Amino acid sequence: MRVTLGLVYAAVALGAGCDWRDFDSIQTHTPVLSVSAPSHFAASDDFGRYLLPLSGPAADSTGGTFVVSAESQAALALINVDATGQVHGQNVDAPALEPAIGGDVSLPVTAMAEVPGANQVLLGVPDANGTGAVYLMTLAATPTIAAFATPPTTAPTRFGLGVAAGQLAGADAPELVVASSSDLTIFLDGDATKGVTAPADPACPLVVSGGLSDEGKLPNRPILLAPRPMGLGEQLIVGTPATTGGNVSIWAVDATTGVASCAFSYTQPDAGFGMALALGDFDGDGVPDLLIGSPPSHAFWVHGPLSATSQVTPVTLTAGSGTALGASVAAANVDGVPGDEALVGDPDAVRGGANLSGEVHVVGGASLDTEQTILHRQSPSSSDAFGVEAHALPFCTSGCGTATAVTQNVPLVASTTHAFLFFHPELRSTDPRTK
Amino acid sequence: MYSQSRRPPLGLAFAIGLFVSVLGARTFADDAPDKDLKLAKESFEAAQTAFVREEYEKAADRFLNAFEHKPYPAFLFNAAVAFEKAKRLVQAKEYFERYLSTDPGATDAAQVRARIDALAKLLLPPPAPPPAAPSPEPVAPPVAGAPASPGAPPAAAPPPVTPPTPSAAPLVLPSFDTKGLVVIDSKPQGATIYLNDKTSGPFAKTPWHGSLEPKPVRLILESKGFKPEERSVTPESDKLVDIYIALSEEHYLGWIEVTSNAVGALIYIDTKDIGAIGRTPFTGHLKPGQHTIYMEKQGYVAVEQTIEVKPGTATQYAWPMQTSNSGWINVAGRGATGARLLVDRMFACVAPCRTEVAPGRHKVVVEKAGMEDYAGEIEVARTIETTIDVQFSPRPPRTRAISTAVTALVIVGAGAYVGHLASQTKDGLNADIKAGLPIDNTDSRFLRGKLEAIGADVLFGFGALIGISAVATFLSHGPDSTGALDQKSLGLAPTVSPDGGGLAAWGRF
Repeated sequence: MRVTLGLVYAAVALGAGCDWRDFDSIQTHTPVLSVSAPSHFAASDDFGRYLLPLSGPAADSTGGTFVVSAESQAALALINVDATGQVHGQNVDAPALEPAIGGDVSLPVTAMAEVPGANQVLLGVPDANGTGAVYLMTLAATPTIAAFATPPTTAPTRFGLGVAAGQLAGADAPELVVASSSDLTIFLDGDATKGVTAPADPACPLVVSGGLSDEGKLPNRPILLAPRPMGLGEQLIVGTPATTGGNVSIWAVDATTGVASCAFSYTQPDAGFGMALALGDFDGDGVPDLLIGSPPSHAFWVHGPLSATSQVTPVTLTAGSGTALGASVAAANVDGVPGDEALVGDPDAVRGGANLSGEVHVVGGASLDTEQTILHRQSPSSSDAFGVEAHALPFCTSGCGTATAVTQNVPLVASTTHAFLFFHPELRSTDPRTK
Repeated sequence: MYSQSRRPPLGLAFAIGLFVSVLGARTFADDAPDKDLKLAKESFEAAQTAFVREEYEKAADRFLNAFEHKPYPAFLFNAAVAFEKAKRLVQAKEYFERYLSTDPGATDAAQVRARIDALAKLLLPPPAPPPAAPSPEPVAPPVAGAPASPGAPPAAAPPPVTPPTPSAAPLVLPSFDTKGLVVIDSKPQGATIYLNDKTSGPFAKTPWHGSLEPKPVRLILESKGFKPEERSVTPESDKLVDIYIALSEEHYLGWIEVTSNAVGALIYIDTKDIGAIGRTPFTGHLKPGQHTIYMEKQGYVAVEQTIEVKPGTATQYAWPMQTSNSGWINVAGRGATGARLLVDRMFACVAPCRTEVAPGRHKVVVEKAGMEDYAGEIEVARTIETTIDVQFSPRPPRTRAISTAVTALVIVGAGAYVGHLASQTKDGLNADIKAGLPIDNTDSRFLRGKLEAIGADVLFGFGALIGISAVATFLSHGPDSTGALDQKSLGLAPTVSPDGGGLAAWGRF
C-alpha cells in the first residue's frame, strides 16, 4: 500500500508540474503578435488588409492603437494593444458608411489618415457611389463616423483614393487632404466647405494613369505630410504611380489660401514608383528621409531634407520571389541601433512553398544597403499577402497617455486575414512590452 | 494359591482347547502360572460356549464353577444373566445381589439394582383369583442354593429341576449381556497400570481384574525398580483375557515419583514439543542424567525443575504449585484453526489455543488470512478463562482493488506520457523563440500544448482519484468478524486423595 500511495503522490506532484498556464505565459509574449478580427467583426476572414497606426495611446495602459479596415467590405475595427501585448479589439459600428456607399457593403475603406490633435480619422472610400466618398471617424468609447465631404462638382474619379491630415495652413484646425485618382483637394481647417483643389502642374503629375486608375486596381495612393526645411511648415508628398513611370511630387501649400503648388518631384521608370511612401531617419542624422516603394521589384529612398536635387537611391534588396516587392514601405528601428530600418513589403512572395504568402524585407545601414532580416509568418499560407501594408506602430513604453510618452516603433504588417505586430523582430531588438 | 473345581470339565478336549487359546493371552515371560485362573478360564469359556448355544442353565453352572476357582464378581454377574435367560428369575435375582455384595463399587451397580428391583416385582405372587376361578397349582419356591460369601462355594449346583418362576407374566426386561473379563497381574504385584498412555493418570495396580470396553487398548505396567512393559489387548464381552507380565529388574534407569498439591497436573520431561507424558502423581523411569521437569496445570503457576537422575535410584519429588493470579484467553470457534491471537498487539498463540494473561483489560485481535480481523477489549479477571468463539467473516477479495490500482497506474502513466509531450511542446516553443523564429500567438503548438497539459492534468487527477479509490477498496472491510465471549471461573478448593492432600480446581461454566 505504501508503494501505491507513493505512486499517487508522485503522480500528483508530476501533474502539478505540468501547468497549462505556462503556455499562456509564453503565448502572451511571443515575438510576434498575430491580431485577428474581434468577435462579431463583419468580415472575420477579411481582416487586416488596411491599417492605420495611431500616433499615441490615450490611456496609460495602452501600448499602441491602430485602425483596421477590411479588404472587401465596409468593416472597421479599432485595435488596442495594451502594455503587456494583450489585444482588445473593438468593432466600429458604421451606420453612416452604408448609406454613403449606396448600401453596397462590399466597398471598403481603403485610405485612412489620422487627424492630429482632433482624435479623428479621415476615411477614404474611393469606390463609393462611383465617385468616392470621405468620412470622419471620431474616436471615442464608441467611435462614430460621419460623412465629411462630397466630391467636387468636377466629378473626379475615385475621390478619397488618398487621404492625409495635418497643419498645412495656419495654426487653426488641421487641414484635411483628399486625393482622387487625378487631383488633390485641401480642406482648410478641416472644413468641408473650404476645399481647394490643387492646380494641375506637369512638373508634379497627379493623374494615376493606365489601369491603375480603374476601380479596385489601386486601392489607395499615399500622401504624406513632411516638414519643410528651414521651418517653413509642412509640405505634401504625393505618390502617383503611372504606367509611364511613377512619380512622387512634393507640394507646398499656401498658409492663407490653402492653394498647393508643385515644388518638385521624383520620378522613376517603374510604374509602381510612388505606390507606397514612408518617412524615417535611416541615416540617423535627425532629418526625415523619404522611402518610396516601387513595385514590382524596388524601393528607393531620398536623403532628407528633400530637395529637387536630392538623389533617389535604390534600397539594396535581394531579389524577391514575388511581383510586388515595394508594394508597401515603412520605417522603424528594428535592431535598436540608432537609425531606422526600411521595411519593404513583398506580398506576392513565395514563402515556405506557399504562393502569394508574402514577406517583408528589413534593410538597414546608413545607406539602406544591408538587408538584415525578412519578416514573415511563422506558418506562411497561400494568398495571405503578408506585407501588403507595412507600418510602424508607436508603442508606448513609459509615460503612456501623457505628453511625455516614450514610444518605440514596432513593425505593423498587414495581410489579408491578420495584422501582425513584431515586438521582437530580431534577436537584437528590444521587446517594448511589459512583463 | 491353587484351587480346583469340584466338578470336572464337561469335555476334556474342549477344555484343553480353551486353555490353550486363553493361555495364549499370557505372556511368555510368565514364570508363575496360576492354576486356579487356568481352571476359571476353562469354566468361563465353557460357560460362554453354552451361553452362545442358549444352554443357559449350563452356562450359569459353568460361570459359578469359574467363580469357585477365581472369585471374580463378573462371574456372578454372568451367572445371573444366564439364569435370567433360563427364566430362573429367583436365581438370577440372587446372583445379581451377590454380584453387588461382592463388588459394591461396580460401575454398573445402579443398573444392576434396577434389575434386581425389576426381578423382584416379577417374582411377586399374582393377585388373588376371582372366586369362581380354580386356584392355580402352587409353585415350588426357588431353591436358595447360592453361597453365602464369594469365598465359599455354593452348597450345591443349582438344581436343574427347579421349576420356573411362578410369574406367568412374560419377561419384558431389557437384555443384559454377559461381561468379558480382563485379568492383569504382574510380578511383582503392585505395578501401576496405565491405559494407552500415562497422561490419563494411573488406572489401577496389579493384580487387577475387571471388564474393559471391547476395543483395543494398550496396557502400560510400571513398577519401581523394574523395567516398564507394554501390551496391546482387545477385550471382548465373551472372553476372559488374562495378562500376566513378569517385570524384569531395572538397574540402569532411575525411578522418579512426582507429586504435587495439584493433582492431575501435566508432566513434561525435557521438552514440551512431544506433549505431556503423564500427570501427577507421576511415576516413571528416566535415563540417568540431568532432566528438566515441567509441571503445568490451569489455575497454577507452571513449575520447572531440574533434577539429577542417578542409575538404579528411586527419588520422590513433592513440588507444590502456586495458584495463579492470571486469567486466560482461549480462542475457539469454527474456522478459528490457524488464526493468530494477538493480545495487546503482541502475538500470543495460534488458534485453537489458550494464553495466559495478567488480570485487567486487554486489547485482543484474532486475525486470519482472508478473513476480517476480530478485535475487541476483554476484561480478564483472576482465574477466569475467557473463551472467544470467533465467527470469521470473509474479507472482500483484493482483486478489484488491484485491478483498480493497475488502472490508476495506467492512467497516471498515460498522464505522464501526455505531460511529457506537453513539456516537449513547451521546450520546442521556447527553443524556437530563443532562436529568433517569428513565433506568433496563433502557433498551433500553443493549443496543442495546452490540451496536452490539461489532458495530463486530467489524467493525473483521474488517475489519482482512481488510485484513491483503489486504496479505499483495498482498505474496505466486509462484515465484521464476531466473537462470542464465554467466561468460566476456575476455583480452587482443598482436597485430599490417597496420594496426598492438595487443591482441586472447580469451574463454573
